[in-house]
Amino acid sequence: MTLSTLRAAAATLAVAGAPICGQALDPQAFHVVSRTSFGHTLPILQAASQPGGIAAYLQAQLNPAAGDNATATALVNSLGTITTLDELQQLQAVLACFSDHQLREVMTQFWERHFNTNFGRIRQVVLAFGGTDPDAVAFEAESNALFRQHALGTFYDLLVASSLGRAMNAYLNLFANKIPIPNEDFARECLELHTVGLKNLANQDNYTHNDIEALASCFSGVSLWRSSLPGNLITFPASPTALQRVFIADWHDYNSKVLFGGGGPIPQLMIAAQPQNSALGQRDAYTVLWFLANADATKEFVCDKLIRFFLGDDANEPTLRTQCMASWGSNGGDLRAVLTTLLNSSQFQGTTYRRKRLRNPMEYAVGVVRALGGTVSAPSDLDALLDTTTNMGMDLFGYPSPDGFPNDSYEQTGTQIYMDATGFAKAIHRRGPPYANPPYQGTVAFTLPTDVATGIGTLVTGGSATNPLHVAEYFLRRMYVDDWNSTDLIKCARLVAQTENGLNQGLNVGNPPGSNQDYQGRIDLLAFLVASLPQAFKK
Amino acid sequence: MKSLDRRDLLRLGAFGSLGAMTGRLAALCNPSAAFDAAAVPTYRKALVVFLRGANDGVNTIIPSGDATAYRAQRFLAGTGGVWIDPAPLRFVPGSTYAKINPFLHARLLAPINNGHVAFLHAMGTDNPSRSHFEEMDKLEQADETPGAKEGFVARLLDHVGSSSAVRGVSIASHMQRMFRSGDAGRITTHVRSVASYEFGAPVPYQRVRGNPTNNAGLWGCSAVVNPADDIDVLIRTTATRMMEAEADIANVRAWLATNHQPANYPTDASQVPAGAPAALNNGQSFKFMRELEEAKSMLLRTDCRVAGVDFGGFDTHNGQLPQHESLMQVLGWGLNSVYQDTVNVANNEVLILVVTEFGRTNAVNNSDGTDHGVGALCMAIGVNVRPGVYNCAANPNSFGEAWTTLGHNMTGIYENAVPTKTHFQTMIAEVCQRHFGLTAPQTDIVVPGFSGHAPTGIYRQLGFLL
Repeated sequence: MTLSTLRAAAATLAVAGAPICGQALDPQAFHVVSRTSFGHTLPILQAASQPGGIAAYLQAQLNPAAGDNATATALVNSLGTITTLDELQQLQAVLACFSDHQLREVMTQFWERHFNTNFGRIRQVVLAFGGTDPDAVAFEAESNALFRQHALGTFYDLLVASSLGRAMNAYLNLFANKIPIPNEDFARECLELHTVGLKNLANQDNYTHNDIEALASCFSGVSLWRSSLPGNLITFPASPTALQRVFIADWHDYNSKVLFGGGGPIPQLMIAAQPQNSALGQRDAYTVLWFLANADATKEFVCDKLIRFFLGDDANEPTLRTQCMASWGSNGGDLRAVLTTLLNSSQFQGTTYRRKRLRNPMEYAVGVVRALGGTVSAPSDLDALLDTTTNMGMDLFGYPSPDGFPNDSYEQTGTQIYMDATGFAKAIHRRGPPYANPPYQGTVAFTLPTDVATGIGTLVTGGSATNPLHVAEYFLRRMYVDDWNSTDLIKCARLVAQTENGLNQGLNVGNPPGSNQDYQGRIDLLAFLVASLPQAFKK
Repeated sequence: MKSLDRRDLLRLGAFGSLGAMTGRLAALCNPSAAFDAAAVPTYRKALVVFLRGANDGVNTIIPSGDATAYRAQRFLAGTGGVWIDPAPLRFVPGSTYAKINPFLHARLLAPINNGHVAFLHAMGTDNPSRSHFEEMDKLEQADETPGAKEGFVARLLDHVGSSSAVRGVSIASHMQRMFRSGDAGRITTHVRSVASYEFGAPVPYQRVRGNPTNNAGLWGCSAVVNPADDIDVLIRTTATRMMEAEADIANVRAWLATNHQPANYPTDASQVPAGAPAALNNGQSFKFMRELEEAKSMLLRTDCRVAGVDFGGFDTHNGQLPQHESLMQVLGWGLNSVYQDTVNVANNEVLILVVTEFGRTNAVNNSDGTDHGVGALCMAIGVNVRPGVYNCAANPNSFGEAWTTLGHNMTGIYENAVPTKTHFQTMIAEVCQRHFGLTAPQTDIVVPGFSGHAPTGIYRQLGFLL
């Protein structure tokens, strides 16, 4: 089939954005699943495309059942007790790729970024205190587990998990926070990044430097136990062991404190003085966290961030924001209610924001695996995926600054990111020469050739596994539903139909592997191309 | 030609007498001095080094003559520091002007003695927040319009021209904001490292039949762009840049494979020279050195006009003294290496601009660290730099209003901090005009609305470039 023949054939078939033939996958279902998961799988998309399918999908995602599917469960169990950073990262990748509870995983990673900590800094502190590498991993792992547990729970629980967790304590120097001049590191980021934000949406300053100092005082004495600690040690646990969180009474500021007393938009919080050197000093931290979790400024800041994450960077939806803030309530922040409001809103379900966001590196790589039906036999098989996301700048638990890896689509592009993406796409191109360099170590296995043979009958009704246009259409529709056009189709079909010298190439399933006529090799190559298309970065 | 004569004079080391004639450095800082944009060479380039986390400026150039400057006693007691004299930055034992951190001084002595270093104190914004992220954005965007996201380098490159596919390159773990643009015409290059910027899977680039049109078409770079869809344009144009940049970067990669200078840019423990500071034997240092050498090579071996690298670890809230010593040693080593490699290269005039988002508190907290301050210390190194310590008056008995306060008598956002004396945008505008020869209208594009500010106060140009 020559290029001109292909073009002519495609022109008669393709209209940009419309399916050529076969079963229609619902673009709205594609949108909803794309935004609330690490990418669709074909079965999930087919189910969501049925009448009532979207509502059923969202209901299940917002109310995840106990346990998980057999594949995810087996892979998680195979990790056992996590003692290394590699294992902790593999756990994230396993659940992102294979868990049924996709929204929970999306939100777990959202909160990981929101309350970002850096493993390298934590390790540095832990080792300085006489701890070990597994101790440092345990810091991150316990926060990660709590973020997952409360991902759809209350914001207060997340805030406590972060602020009073050992990971944040080590990362932002709470362990060294003592009177009379407290360390402001944590307090500043708690206000700016975790709760109320620097300014409200009316561009008013939410707090002053005095508020940062007062918040730092509230947390003074919240530290980590180590053998050299002086003075009156009042512990959270009854008997401290190495690197447990403790309250060091001598380090705490027991004076009364005033937050937000500068006449700004947040109402004032008065914290009464406590008896010197008493365990009651610990209450200050809980008091201020409860106040922050219920502050309107926090509701506004977090709800707006969620709306921008699910809809688009520039989404300015005041009505929806007000509805989400109402759903937040006044009991610590009901996140499931907020997400229910948001994901069922006309703004989210409508067409305005469809295919307007870019995937972050994790979403890109996992999305390819899920869309093409990749499988692994062990968590370490996902190391190539994790290497790729790290190279693309998304090093899980390794992002250096407290603002976390950005959600903004604007930050998800760049020459290096796309260069790394082509490298990852190679992982699905399994064959050796003449098509590619040696493949990645630790590859994800794909069963595409079989799927092509049977799948075309599902997605391209009346199609043929030996017709380049039908094969190309199958891949495009499987990956991108309606987000492709005739030029994409021709590009893909040419790859299947022609040799690198431009000679016609027939599709014959029986052709020998490694030759230019290798059917399976050409299908693999096509999978690579489709995973490299710009659409792969959109969600 | 007057400015060129003057620069030549300075290059010959005559600046000392010139400085003596004019008396105070402040008197040299005449923003309205005659400046001929057309005389600016077209081969000028810049390397921007961003010290992430906010370097402690008053522990880098220390206002030791200020009676209230107890910070110096706190951090450098026992290690001294090196007295500097303002004109032209000579190091004078017994002077009471200011001290330079000895760990930085040890490596920057040559460029300082050559009259090629300017320290720019009290740089910042007019509405500082002490937030890392907001102040970084303000600095890197040079635009405080709500919703602005584009970096100033991306706009600058529109006006400096280049024969290279890589007009500007950010060599960092994450693309620096200053290089970012959502405008397809301003997309620049980001590489994590020159060594790793290589097609992992050559199929779409090399295998498609040697036809450039087809190559572009694979990523949809020359087709299938719906102009109404910004996301598509952004993706496809970035992909085009990705492919276009590969050849230049491959050439530099190949050159570095045989021309790497291990002693100047040690990138593993075996390359750290005997007697070098122990701080160099550190993963963060190795990364910084690699990025500096790659950036320098991109500037000298292609027509890349601006390169950017990051150096992190400056957010020293806790136990600052040993950390800051190490940071100064590594920074000084790297800057000196780049300076030595670029200072005498014909047809390449590289300005090294060292920036950070703000300074740190004057008082030390109870974990022996410093918290977020305001006024930042920036540095400019190069042959067309007018040396000195700016925003730091030359009178040895007074450090001017910036120093006499040092935040002790101030409240609100400037409490316990060096205030802002010169806006970051003013510094960037001066680089645009005096280093790259941009006109005022062009500068207004890079720094939106700059010409609308009266050239006084924080918008008065310092004149740190000739």
